[in-house]
Amino acid sequence: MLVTQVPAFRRFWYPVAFVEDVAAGPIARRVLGEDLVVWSTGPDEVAAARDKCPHRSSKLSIGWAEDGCVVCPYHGWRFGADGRATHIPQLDPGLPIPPKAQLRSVHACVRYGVVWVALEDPVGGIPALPEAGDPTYRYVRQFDEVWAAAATRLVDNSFDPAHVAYVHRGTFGNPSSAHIEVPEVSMTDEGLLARIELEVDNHLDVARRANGETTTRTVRTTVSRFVAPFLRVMSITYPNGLHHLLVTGICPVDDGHLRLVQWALRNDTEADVPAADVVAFDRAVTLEDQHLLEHTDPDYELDLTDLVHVKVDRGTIALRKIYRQFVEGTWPALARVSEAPGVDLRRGAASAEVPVVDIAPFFDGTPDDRAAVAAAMVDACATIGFVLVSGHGVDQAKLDDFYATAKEFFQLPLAEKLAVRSPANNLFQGYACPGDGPGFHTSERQSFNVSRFDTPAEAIAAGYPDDIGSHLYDALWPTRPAGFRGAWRAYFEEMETLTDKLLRIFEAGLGLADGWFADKVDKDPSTLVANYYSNDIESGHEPSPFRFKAHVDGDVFTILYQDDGPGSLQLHHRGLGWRNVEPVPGTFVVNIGELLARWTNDRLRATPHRVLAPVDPAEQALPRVSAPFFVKPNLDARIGPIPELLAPGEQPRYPTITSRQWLGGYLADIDAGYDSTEKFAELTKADPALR
Amino acid sequence: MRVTELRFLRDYWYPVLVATDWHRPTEVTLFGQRHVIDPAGGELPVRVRYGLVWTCVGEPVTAAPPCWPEADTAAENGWRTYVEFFERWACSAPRIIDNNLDNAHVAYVHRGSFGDPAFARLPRPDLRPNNEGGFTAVVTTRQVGVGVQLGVTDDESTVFVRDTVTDLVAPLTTRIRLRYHGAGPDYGFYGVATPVDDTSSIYVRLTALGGTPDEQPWERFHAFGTRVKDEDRTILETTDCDFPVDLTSEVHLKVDAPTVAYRRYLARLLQEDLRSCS
Repeated sequence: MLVTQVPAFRRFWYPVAFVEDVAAGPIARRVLGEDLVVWSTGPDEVAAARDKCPHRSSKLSIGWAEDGCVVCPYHGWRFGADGRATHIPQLDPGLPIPPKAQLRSVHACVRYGVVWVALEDPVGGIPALPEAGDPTYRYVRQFDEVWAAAATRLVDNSFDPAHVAYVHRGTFGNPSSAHIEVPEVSMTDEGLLARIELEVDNHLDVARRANGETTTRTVRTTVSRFVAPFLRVMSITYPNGLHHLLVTGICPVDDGHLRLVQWALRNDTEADVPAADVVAFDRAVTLEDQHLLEHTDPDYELDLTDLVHVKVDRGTIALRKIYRQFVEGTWPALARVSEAPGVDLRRGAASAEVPVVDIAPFFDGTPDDRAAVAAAMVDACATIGFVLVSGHGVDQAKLDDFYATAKEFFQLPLAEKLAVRSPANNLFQGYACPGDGPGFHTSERQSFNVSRFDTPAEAIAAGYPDDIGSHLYDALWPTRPAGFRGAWRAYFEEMETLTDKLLRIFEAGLGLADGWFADKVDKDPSTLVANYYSNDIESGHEPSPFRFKAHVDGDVFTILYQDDGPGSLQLHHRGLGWRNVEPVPGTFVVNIGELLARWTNDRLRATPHRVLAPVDPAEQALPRVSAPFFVKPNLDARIGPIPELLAPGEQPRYPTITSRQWLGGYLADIDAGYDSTEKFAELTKADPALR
Repeated sequence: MRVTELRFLRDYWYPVLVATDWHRPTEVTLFGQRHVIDPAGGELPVRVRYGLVWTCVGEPVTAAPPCWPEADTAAENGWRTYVEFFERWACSAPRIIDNNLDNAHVAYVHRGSFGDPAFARLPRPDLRPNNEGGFTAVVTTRQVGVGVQLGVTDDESTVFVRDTVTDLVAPLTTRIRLRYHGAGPDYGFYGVATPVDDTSSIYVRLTALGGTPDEQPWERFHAFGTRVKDEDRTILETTDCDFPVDLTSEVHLKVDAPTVAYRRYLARLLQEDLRSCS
């Protein structure tokens, strides 16, 4: 296990500096391979962000801090604690600061005189230290330094009492005491608790001085708390009553490096033992550990069969169990709501970093290009279930017309829009708006819906099955704006063309015959919807942080156009939680729906997603348009795990049913008030990792 | 994008050695690959021009490096020319050219030499296409500190008005002429960023001084220029070697018109190159 390959590690606080060291100006720190700038914003207050100016990519950490802001030394741009630019010297006064002039901020705080940062909404990592507030204890600063070893290796070392006899034979170990009692180890909410009594030597004068011991042999009781994922609090009690609490804060710098931020809390005084002696003894000990650990492999073995273990290794065996839960995303703390002080979860959400795939080379490139595009699409859909597609060939003018007419329609008076609301209270026909009762959206969303044909009769005449009528609805076209129907029909055709392209790519990427999907998605009830989010309709709903609650799409896949209006689409990444799907100009979002997940036996993931309301009231009034095209299979298509895609021995997770049966059940559920958001809410009750 | 991803960059000439240092076959690195430049002739074409040894690892789009009018007319117009800097920097080549095209950085990066944050707000430079397929950017700014360099005054707070005419003449080559309206002699720079690999470049600056050696002594000019160059280097060596040629990855202001034009220019060459390959 390499630390940067475990997304869950991004959700914990790590110590990166002593707070006095950021007083003189911004400092550079690396956490899990990401370069950060950390600066002081006030007494005992700090901020941190990615160390890259959004203007010309220079590092802020060689700049300076002014009035709580960090200043870029290239052009003097000034950024506040939330990462937003507060001043751009080249802008004419009175002009607004471009919204993209923003650093990608991360969480930062000061506790115990130490600066902590977290890359994602944190759920733990800072230990409770009752002694820190106890006036009978004093604080001794020790180290802030980088070692060329993986963070996991120092944690492992910290829970391995057997190493003392050898590694520390120069300070307090003795090979003649190598055979030790098996430590008592128990699992805790924060990690582990390990207790052991060790007979140790005091080889060094400084050891005797530091611990106030006059003899050369001492029995010391050590209780070590593991605060997952990388911190240890070691409490050592000596027979003379000295209590030495050592906080070994470990920050994973990157796969091969750790930062050690270590300090001690002790119930003695400077007169008893000078701090310099306390530091000197721990210095000698850490140098022994550092030398050894800098010769270990950064790839930490999780499998218990990869290494030899003996009975006294109980602590490090338990550690491996915990780390496996981090890798799998099942460590209980990950299900917690972030405890970040004063951080708005919605604003703090990081980008999901959905990959962008240019699909054009699939159609005009070499066989290698085709294979590369198909593999990239399937990879993205197998890992996060979302992909941003560029090179899609959709006519920009048709998209522009569609978007403009949609937006114009939504801005018409409500009465005019209600004229094209479904007379049968159907949410999939014409206009729908927020409100109470059947045919109204329960969230703050307006929508307009059409399918391929204006009437079911036309669909049947075009060769569709007779019962398509129960899945298609008469189109309701508004009279204004002019050209609405033409613009929507033209865009619908563009979406069908893109659908065919994507199906060919999925066939290639999954290893299906070319055209496998062709007779399953050609006479289908696919629908085009424009959603409009704005607070201009008084719905009487309780204010909700969501404009669209979490759900999984009930289709093959969805092709989504989203503008960059405020409020964000988020997807749920297992192990990482909710992440923003940032709009990228010129791309469509493609996300896998439940039916393609079933066809591939969940190899391609139907990923839950939701839409948040903007936090600022001013932004809530600014409109946002998103337009999904829901690709649905023919009613007679058989939906179930495709046999040739199953690995040897792989069990199908779903029965094979027809699309008609599936859709019937899906619509019946919606009619019964059990829609996709309710279904998802149900799932989260059983599976905390989804929250 | 990284320089090795911009294949078309290989079709231009780059200085790889200072001519006076070239006596025997010498190994150089371009786009991450090593080549031997042999005075007796070898695998790559070589041109010796303006005191530099140039080569091209692709198919050269021109027979020789872009011309330097100051050097070409030195005898008639009294220019004195120098190879002022030739050193390896730990940054990507387009970042160096981007910096040459960017007048707005002066106020902050060079606040220790001739910049002043009080003059951060600049007019939008005028842009027009030039004869070499690139463009010319013209801007008039107020600068402090150059009095020391010009020998007009020792006072670093004296303000001068100057015109800066910057020409992009190849993807990684600029020419700059600076004029002080009689307050001091003109001078000009010819700058090239030679792409050693994705993360390092040779920063090359040729300098042409107007005026007489008394009016503009080389030593004084060079001492000031070295301060300025080191200020740029400190910043540029922190930039990302991934240089975006799209316009959405970074934020741009009105004053950034030349560096926006530079990104468009590279994007156009990239697209033409991809089209000609496929």
